[in-house]
Amino acid sequence: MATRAEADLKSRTLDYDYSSFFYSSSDDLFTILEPYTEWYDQAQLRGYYLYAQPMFSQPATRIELEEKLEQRHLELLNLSSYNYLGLSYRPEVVAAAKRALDRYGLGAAGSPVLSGTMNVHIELERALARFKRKPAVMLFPTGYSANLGLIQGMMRPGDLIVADQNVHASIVDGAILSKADVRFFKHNRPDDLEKKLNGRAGKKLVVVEGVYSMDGDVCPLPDVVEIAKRHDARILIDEAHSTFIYGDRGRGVAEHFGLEDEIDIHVGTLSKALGGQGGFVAGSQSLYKYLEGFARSRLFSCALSPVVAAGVLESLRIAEREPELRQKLWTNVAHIRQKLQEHGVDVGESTSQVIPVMIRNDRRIFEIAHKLQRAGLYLQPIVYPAVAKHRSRFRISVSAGHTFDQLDHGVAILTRVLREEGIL
Amino acid sequence: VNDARVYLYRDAINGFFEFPTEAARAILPRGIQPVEPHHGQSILAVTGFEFHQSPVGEYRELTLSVLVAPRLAPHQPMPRAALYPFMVGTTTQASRLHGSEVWHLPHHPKELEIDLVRGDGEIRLAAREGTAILELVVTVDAGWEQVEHRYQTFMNDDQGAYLSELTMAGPFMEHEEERGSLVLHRHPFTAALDPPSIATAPFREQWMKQGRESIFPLQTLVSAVAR
Repeated sequence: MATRAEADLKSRTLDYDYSSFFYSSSDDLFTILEPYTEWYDQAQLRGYYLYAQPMFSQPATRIELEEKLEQRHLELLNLSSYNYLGLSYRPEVVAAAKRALDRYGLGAAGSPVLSGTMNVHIELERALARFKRKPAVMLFPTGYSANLGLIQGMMRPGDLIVADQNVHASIVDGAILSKADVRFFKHNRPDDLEKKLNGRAGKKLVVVEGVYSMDGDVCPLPDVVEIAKRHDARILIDEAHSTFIYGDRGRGVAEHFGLEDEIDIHVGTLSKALGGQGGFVAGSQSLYKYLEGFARSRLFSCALSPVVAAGVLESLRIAEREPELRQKLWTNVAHIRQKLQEHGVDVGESTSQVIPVMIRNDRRIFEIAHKLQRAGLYLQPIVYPAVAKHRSRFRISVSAGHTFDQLDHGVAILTRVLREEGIL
Repeated sequence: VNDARVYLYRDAINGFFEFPTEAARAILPRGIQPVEPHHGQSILAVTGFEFHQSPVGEYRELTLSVLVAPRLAPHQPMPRAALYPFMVGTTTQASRLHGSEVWHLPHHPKELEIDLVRGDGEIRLAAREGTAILELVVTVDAGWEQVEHRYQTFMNDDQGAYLSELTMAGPFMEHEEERGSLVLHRHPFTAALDPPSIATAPFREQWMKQGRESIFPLQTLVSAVAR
């Protein structure tokens, strides 16, 4: 028979979330574990099982996965992966990775500053530098470690970091690790950035993203640059979700606004549009040399796998050679956006390939996600604390690989379920 | 449950405002951790009540608290949140003495004037004692839902350290649309705060109407809350 506390937890599981268990006022380190496990097990049954379900296929437009709740094997239309140009499964990319596997073996077997740098890493860094039109590019094993190592490597106690409040966790964690003074300005509000910079002397770094990953909206970069320059602050832009997507040549939001030379440090990822893994920092040769000595997340990690580096290098060549992929992506974005608008779906402030479907109900979104999955659509629920309370949403990631038929089918499933649930 | 003291209220409103964590830590006793929504930013909770039935009759109350980490234990009901109230003011002497003696809450030594004005889609609280203390506006931007929420509050005075468990039940609304506001004046009631460093737009707004607060007997804490 369930205790009162167990019954209470079952009925209130969705009153809590990950943020409820971050802290615990206790003298014992492990006191938090059992209450967390009790909640976690209930939360899985109430909808959290939808996260981290094992996929048995490429992250292509159609996928196979095993639903964690009942170990069911499902074939689904995928609107969740950020394989924006559909490159992760391109035959040329797979072939390049296979050749690298035969040549180098699986891993780099060393830090990039010791024995882990291979010629394919150098080749990829040079190709990315040419693409970004920057003197140097440094590879990192993940996008997370790129921001972490860059910010920790450059900023010191007493310096000031002013970041948009919606920047990625890797930027926040890099800022914390640097022990610099950190201030957050309200999302996409240059007037608040100005307030946070006012009266501050010394070294300053302003950090923004090109496209924000939860809302799909674009940074008002011209205003940010003007304010940062006026306050003698350096500017870092993370273009994880905008490189190879924005700009005439795909160099990102900075290119889109004609401000590439005004930005001091560019960060990008190899895991979104290029379909691989890793991150990079683009800037001057002197920045490269300094980070080589001080970016600890790179210094003390094994180098990116040469297999991935070779695959990404081929992805980069394709992305540059086939601008029609970017065009196809934008055609798809326009198509699905129009279909969603015709049905009155609330897509928030998005103007990019990341399209939130606003549900604004933290409790019901899991039930809706379950119905969508059972109806054949793979769409991830995003809830607090990843987004503000009652701004829960699904996040559609459009790919150039989608056909119009697939997008129409996805919209049909989505709108049918949203109508059944009274959201539309 | 039968041991709980019950307070019925017309309105309970709450605004969460970001303020520097170093300021929060200066208020909190050792062992109580502030909750940070962003690195370096903690939460000041400004709470207003209008009680119409209580052990000490009708009164209004204004509380300043820091949002803190709850005390969790296996197989125990979990709180939705925890607070460390560091300044409380009420409109009657009886309620002030009751709060100090029964709940060990740190009270302002004089009665406050607290106005609550319910408008179209918002509620306004203004408090003064001699001079203005603060003005709080909480707005409606979400649906109302019947709930029963469990909270913890930590108290600390020269007699000891205490934990109070309580529930609040009633029609409830909360959102994070940043539409409300806080104007904080320099006053002995707000002496622990530096008004310019506190956000004027709320991180979160909450309102419960026609609710019931049940406060369970205080637990005395032997550690982790000593100054």
